[in-house]
Amino acid sequence: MKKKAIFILSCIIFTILSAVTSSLLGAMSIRWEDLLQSDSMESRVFFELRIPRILLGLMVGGSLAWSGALAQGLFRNPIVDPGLIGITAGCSLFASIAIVLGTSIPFLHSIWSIVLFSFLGGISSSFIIFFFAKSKGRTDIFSLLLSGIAVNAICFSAIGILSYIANEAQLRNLSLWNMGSLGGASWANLKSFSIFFILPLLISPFIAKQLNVFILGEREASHLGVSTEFLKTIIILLIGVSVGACVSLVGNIGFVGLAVPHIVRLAIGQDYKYLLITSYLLGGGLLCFADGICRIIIAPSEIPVGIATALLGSPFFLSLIRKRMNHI
Amino acid sequence: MIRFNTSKEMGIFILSLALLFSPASAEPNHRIISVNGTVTEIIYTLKLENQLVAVDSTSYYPKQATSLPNVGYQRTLTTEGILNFKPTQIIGLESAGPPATIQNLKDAGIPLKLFPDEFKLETPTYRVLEIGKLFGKEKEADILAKNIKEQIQKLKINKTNIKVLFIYSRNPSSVFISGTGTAAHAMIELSGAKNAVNEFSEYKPLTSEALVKANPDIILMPEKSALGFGGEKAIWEINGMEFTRAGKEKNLILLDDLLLLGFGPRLPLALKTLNDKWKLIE
Repeated sequence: MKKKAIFILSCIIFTILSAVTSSLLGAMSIRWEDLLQSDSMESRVFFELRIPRILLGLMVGGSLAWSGALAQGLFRNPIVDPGLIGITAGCSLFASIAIVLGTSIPFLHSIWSIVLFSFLGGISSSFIIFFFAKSKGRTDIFSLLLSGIAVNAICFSAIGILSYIANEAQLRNLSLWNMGSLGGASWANLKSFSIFFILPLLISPFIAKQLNVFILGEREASHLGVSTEFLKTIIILLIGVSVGACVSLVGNIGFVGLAVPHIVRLAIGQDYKYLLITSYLLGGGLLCFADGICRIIIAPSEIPVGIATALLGSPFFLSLIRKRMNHI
Repeated sequence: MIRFNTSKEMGIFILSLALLFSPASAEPNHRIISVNGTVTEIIYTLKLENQLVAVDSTSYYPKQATSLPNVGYQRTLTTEGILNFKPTQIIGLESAGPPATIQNLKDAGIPLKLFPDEFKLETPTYRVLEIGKLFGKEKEADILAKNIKEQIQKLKINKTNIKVLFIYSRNPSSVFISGTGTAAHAMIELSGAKNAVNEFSEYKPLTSEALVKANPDIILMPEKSALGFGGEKAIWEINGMEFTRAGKEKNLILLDDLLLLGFGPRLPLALKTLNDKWKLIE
């Protein structure tokens, strides 16, 4: 219990420090006195660009890690990530359609429409997967996984075709989008999408207990009074909405959804009461910190944040696995 | 005893007043960021470089431009990286990006002038005149535009049947060839040769069979691209190259990237250079 409390407290401190550090990092050097002049460029950059970006990083990283923890619970497999059930691929495909064919589709001219269209793609693909996995009123987890793999394959093939027909500018935007970036953060998209990022936090306490029973096995959970069908449906829906919102806003960010919940599980165990919320905290902190590093490492350019999360998290992840192996 | 020459002093006074309120002293002092090599070249040609605060990585001509702060590649710009220089005007091409950064810059109220990616004979003069208008250098821009126009009119481009294949590569593992609708295609056609590939538009990955089928007489490549690809030796080692006339005769033209694809003030020079090469091959 003491170890658990220390780890959770460390995650809280790390997340706060990440946010504060990230607010100080960027191409523009901003002093505290600059912030007092509301009309200065420094103040505008800080409040209109950096703060929304930090908040978006915290929420997106948190939601991806939280969704990863949920997916690992749903499949009862610690090396599953939310991308496995096709939501990320659906978002990516629709975003790719918007980037490559947007000029010839009347309602896809603005960035905002690309985001919404991509979100629609994520939700659509999760419904398709869900539809194929459902038989006689039951959702079969094995079929769910296979449908996810199939939808992933279809989506990535289609993205391949789109990449082939794209011109150079579109290809560049496509590859940048696929590497993920928080550069498009603004108060407007935070306002519109916050609900999908905060929703997980609000729902966590209500499903944690049932998930703890569910990981014993589906049949066992049913015998213990858990409505497994309802639980599976709500988990898929939550992952769909949450990951869909993340990917459509910032593109593909790997590693966070797979590794963060795994790291948390290795540190504090399987109890979903703590696992979900701690994954959210650590995921948010990691993405926020990684984004800060991305902004300064080759300033004034930026490294796509998806690359940095993998670079920062992998060594830590490997060391944890090694530690675990030594205990076996 | 000093005697004042009233008329002379009055003249000096009037002249001082005239200078004080002359348009020259009221010339606006811009803080320009150029995010395209050709635009930077035009800015230097119009003597506006003292108002240029930063450029992108494609701005390497004239050489002085490389000593200015760099905001990165024109297609991977960052909002903060640009606003850091407190620009009053950003200028480049419509292909500048990513879209989120362009949107953020518009939201920040920074004036953006982005030229369309056009590949016509009139493109350089249009860009010169627009930039001149933007920064109050209409007269200089007019002279420069006229000069470019005259040079183009004087060009004696002889049509040839030479088939040219434009190869573009960032590294040996990704080699692209140019179809129609690109700056390379326009340069080949405007300089009197034929693009060896007309079956598709834009840049597509090179395949050995397509290369043999196209059977180009000559290979055209930007200098930097050829360097990244591994030099001339690596080009002749491309699968299928030995079956083409270009490969057999080792016909290769390397031209500076900006000169070849920029559609800037040096377009007449680029066209003449290419046409002279075609004549030699023919």
